[in-house]
This record gives sequence, C-alpha cells and structure tokens, in this order.
Amino acid sequence: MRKRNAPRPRMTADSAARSTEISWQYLVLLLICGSVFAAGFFFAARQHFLSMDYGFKNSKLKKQLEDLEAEQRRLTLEREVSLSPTAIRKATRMLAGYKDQGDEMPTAAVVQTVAKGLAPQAIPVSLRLPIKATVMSKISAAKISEPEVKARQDNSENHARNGATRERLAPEKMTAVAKLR
Amino acid sequence: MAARVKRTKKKNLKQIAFTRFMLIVAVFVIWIGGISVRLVHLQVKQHDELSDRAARQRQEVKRSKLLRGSIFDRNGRTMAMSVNVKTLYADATEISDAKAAAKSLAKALGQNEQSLFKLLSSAKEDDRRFVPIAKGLDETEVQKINKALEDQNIKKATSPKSEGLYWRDDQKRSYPNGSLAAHIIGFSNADGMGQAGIEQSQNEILYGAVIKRTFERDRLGRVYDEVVSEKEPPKDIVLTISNPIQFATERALERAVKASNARSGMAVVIANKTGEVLAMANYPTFDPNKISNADPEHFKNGVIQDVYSPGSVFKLVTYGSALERDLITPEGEVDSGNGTIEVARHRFRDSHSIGRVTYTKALAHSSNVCAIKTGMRVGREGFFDLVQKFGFGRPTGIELPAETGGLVRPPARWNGDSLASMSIGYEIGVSALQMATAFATIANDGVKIQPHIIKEIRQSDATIISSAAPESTRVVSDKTARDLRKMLREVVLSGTGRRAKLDGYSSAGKTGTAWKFDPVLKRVNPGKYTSSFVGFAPVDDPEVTIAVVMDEPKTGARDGGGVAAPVFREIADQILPQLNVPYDMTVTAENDSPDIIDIPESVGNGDELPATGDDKTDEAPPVAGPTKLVTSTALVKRAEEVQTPAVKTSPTPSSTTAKKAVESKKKRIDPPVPKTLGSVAPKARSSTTRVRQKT
Repeated sequence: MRKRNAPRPRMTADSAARSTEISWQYLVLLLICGSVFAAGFFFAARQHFLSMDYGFKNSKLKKQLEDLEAEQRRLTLEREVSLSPTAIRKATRMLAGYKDQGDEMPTAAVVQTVAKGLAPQAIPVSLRLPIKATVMSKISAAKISEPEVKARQDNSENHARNGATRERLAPEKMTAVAKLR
Repeated sequence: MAARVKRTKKKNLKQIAFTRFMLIVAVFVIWIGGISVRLVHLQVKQHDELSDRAARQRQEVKRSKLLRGSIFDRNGRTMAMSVNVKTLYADATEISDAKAAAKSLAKALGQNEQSLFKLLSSAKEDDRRFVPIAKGLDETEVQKINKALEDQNIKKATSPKSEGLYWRDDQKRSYPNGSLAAHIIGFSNADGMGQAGIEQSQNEILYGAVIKRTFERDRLGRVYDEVVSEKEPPKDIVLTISNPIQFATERALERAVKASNARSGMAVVIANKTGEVLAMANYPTFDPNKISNADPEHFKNGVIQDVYSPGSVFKLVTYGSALERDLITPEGEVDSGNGTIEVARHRFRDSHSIGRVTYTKALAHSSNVCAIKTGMRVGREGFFDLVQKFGFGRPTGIELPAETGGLVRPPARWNGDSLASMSIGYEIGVSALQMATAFATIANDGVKIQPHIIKEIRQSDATIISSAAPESTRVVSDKTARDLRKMLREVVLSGTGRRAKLDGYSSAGKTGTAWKFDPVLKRVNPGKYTSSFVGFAPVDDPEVTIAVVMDEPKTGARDGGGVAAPVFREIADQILPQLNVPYDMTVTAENDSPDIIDIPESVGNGDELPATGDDKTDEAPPVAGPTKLVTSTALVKRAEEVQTPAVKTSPTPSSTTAKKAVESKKKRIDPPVPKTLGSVAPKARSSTTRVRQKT
C-alpha cells in the first residue's frame, strides 16, 4: 500500500529537460522504419502497376497469337483450296490455254486416241500446240548457268546420251525437268 | 495566496488542455466511427450489389465456340476445316441517329444506304439489340471496316469505334476441295452441327464446345487479365480416303454417267488387305460450300444407302458356296442345255446357249442356267449360310450415317423359285459397299475385313487418340478364294468383262446387269437396268477392289461389261501406279481397241409361266423383295382386267388366254427399245421371243 502522505518526487528542471529530450537513436530507428514502410508502399505500388502493365502486354500478345493462329488457318485453307485437284485442273487448263468451260481437257491419252483414229495432221492444232508450248516455255523459263550450257553443248557435240546430259544437270534443274515431264 | 492563485491557474490550463484534447479525440472517434459504420454498411450490407457493379464495370464476359475439328485425308490433306470469321452487328437501342449510322456503314461496307437505313430504323423501333449487318468477314476485312467506321468523338473500349456497332466472333466451315468426297465428308449447319456424312456421324468428336472468356479491363478499356473456362478441345479425324484416288474415281464416274446418260452412278475403292475405303464416289454430287444451291436428292450416299439387285455379280456367292462345299471345281463341267431352265413355274434364260462348259467358262459367260443349277446343288441352307457370312442383309458397320443393311429374306420366307432367283442376283438387295466387301474378301484369300473410313482420331497437336482396328472374319477357305479368283480372271480375259483389262496389271471381276424394280409398275421393269462391275487387281496379289454401279444407263451399251467395266479400268489404271503396285503384265495397246466384241450377258430374272388351275392353290404369297416379279396369279388377274378384244374373243382355253393376256400386258408395259441400244439387249430380247413362240 502506498502511503497517502508520502511526498511525490519533485521533477527538477534538469530532469524535466532530460525527459523531453528525444534520443537520436530513437529518431534514426523511426526514420528507418518510416523509410521501410514508405519503400514497402512504393514497392507494392510499383508491383501493382507492373503487373497491370504485364497484364496489358500479356493480353495483347494473346490477341496477337489468336490473330496469327486465325491467319495461319486462313492461309492453310487457301493453300488447301489451291492444292485441291479441282483447282490444279483449272490451273492446268489455264496454262494449256483452254477456256474454263466444258468438261474435258484433252489429256495425253486422248491425244493418242485421236492420233490412232486419224492421220497426225488431222489433229486440231489447238489440241497439240498449247501443251507443247507450255512445256517449252516452262523449260526455257528455267535458268541454266553457263557451265551447264557448256556441258550441254559438249554433250550434243559428242552425241552423248540423254542420261549423260541428265547427270551433268544440277539436281534442282533435274527436279524441275522431271516435274515438267 | 499568490501561489494558490498560480496553482489554480495552472490547474485550469491543464484542465482546458485535457478537455480540448478529449474533444479532438471525440471528434476523431466520431469521424472514424462514422466512416467505420459506412464501411460496414458498404462492405457488409451492400457487398453483393456493389461487387456486382464493380465486376460489371471492369469485366467483360464473352461466350464463344471452340473451332470445330478438322477432317483430313490419309495423306494429311485437309478435307474440312473451320476458320474464324466475324459478324458486324448493331445494337439499335444505342444508335441515336440511324441515318448517319446508315451513311457511314454504307460507305464502309459498300452497301446500299437506303436499305441499311430501313433496317436500322425498323430495328430501332422494335428495340432490337442484335441486327446483323455483315457476316463471315475475315480479319483483313475487319481491319478495313474498323478504319472506315472510326469516329474520333466516340470513346469506346472495343472496335469499331462507332456508335452502337459491335463485332461478334463466329466460325465458318470450309471444304477446300469443293465437291470432292462430298458424300463422305457431309456438311454441318450454321450451329456447327453435322448434318450428313462424317460431319454427322462423328459430330460428338468434331463438335467445338462453348467456352466462357472473362476479360478484366481498366478504365481505358484495356484488357489486363483474361480468364478462360476450360473445355475439352475438339478432335481431328483422319480418313482412309486418298484425295488423288477419290478425284480419279469421281472423274471416271462422272464421265461415264454423262456418256451413258445414266440416272446416277456410284463407285467405291477398297484396299483389300486393310479394309480401308480409298475412295467412295457418287454422281450427281454437290458442293458442301454451296449447300443452299444443292439439290437435296443428291445428298444421298448411294454406295451405302442405295439397295439394288446385283444381278450376275452375285454369282460370286453362288459359285463360292459350291466351291466351299466341294460340290464343283473350276474345271468341272456343267450343261446349260438349250439355255433355259424352269424352276417352280419360272423360266430362266441365258442370252445365248453355251452348251456343256466348265464352271469357269459358265461364270465368264455369265450363264444364268449354270448359276441356277449350281445354286440348286448347294441348296437353300448352304447358300443362305454363305450369304450371311459375306455380310449381306446387315450393315457393314462403316462409320457413315444411315447405312443400309440390304434386303435378304431368311429361307423360311423364300418361294419355290427364290433360290434360283438369288443364284443369279435377284430377290436380294445389296449395297455397292457390301458387294465390294464380298469381292475384297475373295481378293484377301477368303478373310473378310470390315470396311472402314476413319483411319485415326487425333488431338489438335497431332497426338493420336485412337486408330482403326477392323474386325476380320474368315468367310471361305483359302483354296475357294484362289479358285474364285481364277474363275473371275477368266471373266476379264474371255468373258463379259473384257473391257476391264488393264494396262500392265492383271485384273479379275464380274459384270452384272439387272432389271430394276419399278415402284410404279410394282414389278421389275425390263427397260431399266442397274449395270455394275466389281473387280480387283492385280489377280495374284490383289491390292484394291473396285465396285462400279451405274443406275439406268440409257445411251450406248447398257450392260455391266459395256458401261461399268470401262470405269473400273479407268480407275484402276490411274490408281494402281499411284499406290506403287508393281506391274505384273506387259503393257499392251490392246485394251484401247474399240474392236472388243462384247459377249452378251444374260439379263433379267426370266419369266413367270402362266399358272394352271391346279397351280393356283400352290401359289406362294407375293414377296416384298426388291425385284420380285408379281406372281402369276396376280398377273393373270390384272391381265383379265386389261384384256384386249382379241384375247376376249379368242376361243382358246383359259390358260392360253391368260398367257396371251400376260404377254399382251408385258408388251404394253415394256418401253420401246431405243435405237441406240447396244448389242446386248436386242439379242436377249430376240431370244426371249423365240422361247415364247416355242412354248
């Protein structure tokens, strides 16, 4: 039990000054805590805006990916359309100089049948020329380098066989010629 | 005293400071308390409403369908695929000035301004929120339209930046090969549901599920987060069809149908060793890309849905059952007599009498009499047993919708002449695929492999989920199959199928020409044929079986050997080199010769003989078979109804009257033979006449 009449300790001027004085360690600690606190807020805000930014970029990329996939599908479809037998037949007809009408395009077999039944001169020019002309124009369109031309000339001079000529041709030209045949 | 005053003052100051402090605290407490109450009210009581509002403000929910699965051929070529397209639509309730909107839309889309104005103003009156303006636009077109419609005054997160206009994601089904394999692929409707072919039968696998996409947007409308509900993506289907083979088959068929002026035609190509269907063609056909322009009658896949009488092609089963039971040998002899045979008051005829010949020769010349005699030796049960083993009368199980099982009656429901009729391919209904499967069985040494059209099912990343595993069943022995192949080879070499000879390959097969059942006449009509050829090549190690069926050829030769065999030849000549099948014969130009003399094929199911008075009691009830002639009783009845005056006044006995009436009725029914008819039909006709005179 505290004594009621016990005198309270008097606060002297010195002690009062000492008690109001804030130690610098306390201030530094406060500053550090404040800085950490502020930095935390700053960091959190930065992260937030960064994540938002990544979100925007992500959604943009997703959209791009979707668009590219759609474009890829569209191009695949176009490729398939152009590679379909019907389209190839149409292209062949155009190359051969036939109108895109009627059902039949004279194939090699048909020409042969015509040739059997008729004298060669009786075959209409329209049935013979375009095919030959196309093939010739395709062959002439293929670029042949000078050494190859020389090699061909040599071959023709030596009456070399076709096989020998083929061997000297560059492989890509061989493929082109084979395709044309 | 002064000290007391000083102390009191000091005490008062302290008191005032304390009071003020407490006041400030109280204000703060009230303020914070008020805020807290408000917060509690907002976050607890109004939570749901406010969170919904917030979500609505920043979230956008879109429902879209995953792209429907693709269909590929065996080489990976796309047969059907879906692509993303967009639909431009207007929310008429958001459009304030319909005229201005119509003007800008007309400019951007190149459409008529007046019609757009009418459309928008009527939609505005009805408060319609979805008014489609332009459909099926790809991304390039969409960008162009967006640019054309951009209005700087409109603040909108989504394009087009124009009042009340929006884009909706759609998908479009495309068939890059057009009409190629249209009957196999089928088509799907606007809702992405398969309506025919593989699209229909495999709809569950191909179907693209509806997914929900939730976009989170900031105040400027930029998307910063996206959540997609997960659904199983649709699968892709790889078919056994080969595009080039299908094309070759369709072209050959189309040419033949046009040349023979046939009603329709169908062809199927099967790989014997695997049961894979390499091609399945029908003509006339349709383009699934332009389905609204197509004739719905052409949607039917006749190869699996049409039932026809096979005619002589079915003799394969007749001779097969006899060989299997060792009742005959290919070199054994059979006598066709004078080319006619009577079974249960039904007279069957050959086109020409071939006398005593080997079974091989009998099949090569397609003798009806020999086939009937062979069938009779086998007997009902034995014959029916093999018919069932070959799979006639039930669907093959191919993965296509609405496949028919054909029409095969059990022996208990057969008439007296049914076995004879069935021996030559009447009173039975088959599909072209069933017939091709039977021949493929013989080509595959007697082992039947279930025909199938789906090679594998795979995911979009090409991972295979399931592959075809067809059932295989032995139908006839290896020896029987070999013997039959030898006999069928003779058909091509010296019989009715000589136009099926190939360049560089040996081939075998059987021709068939059957009268068609006429639903109007309720009997077979000798003026309408179903001509077919089913064969395989090369003979020693057959790779493919090809069945060709022509429905009602009208111009030129009309028998199977004249109409269908050349189609077989054209298809086989093109596809065997494609399949890298080595040549087994030297290439000759013989096949091109137009001088091939066709051996006339026995056509028709013979005639019912007139019934005598005693016979009438034995008469079997009419049969609901597809090609069954009306019974003689019924025919007599009808003949009496339409009796000509000459018959009426005739003093001959009743049976003779009936016979004449039958003949007169038949003459009336038979259509006139066209002048262009080939050599086959007139011969058969004259033969029939001669026999009638004899009787």
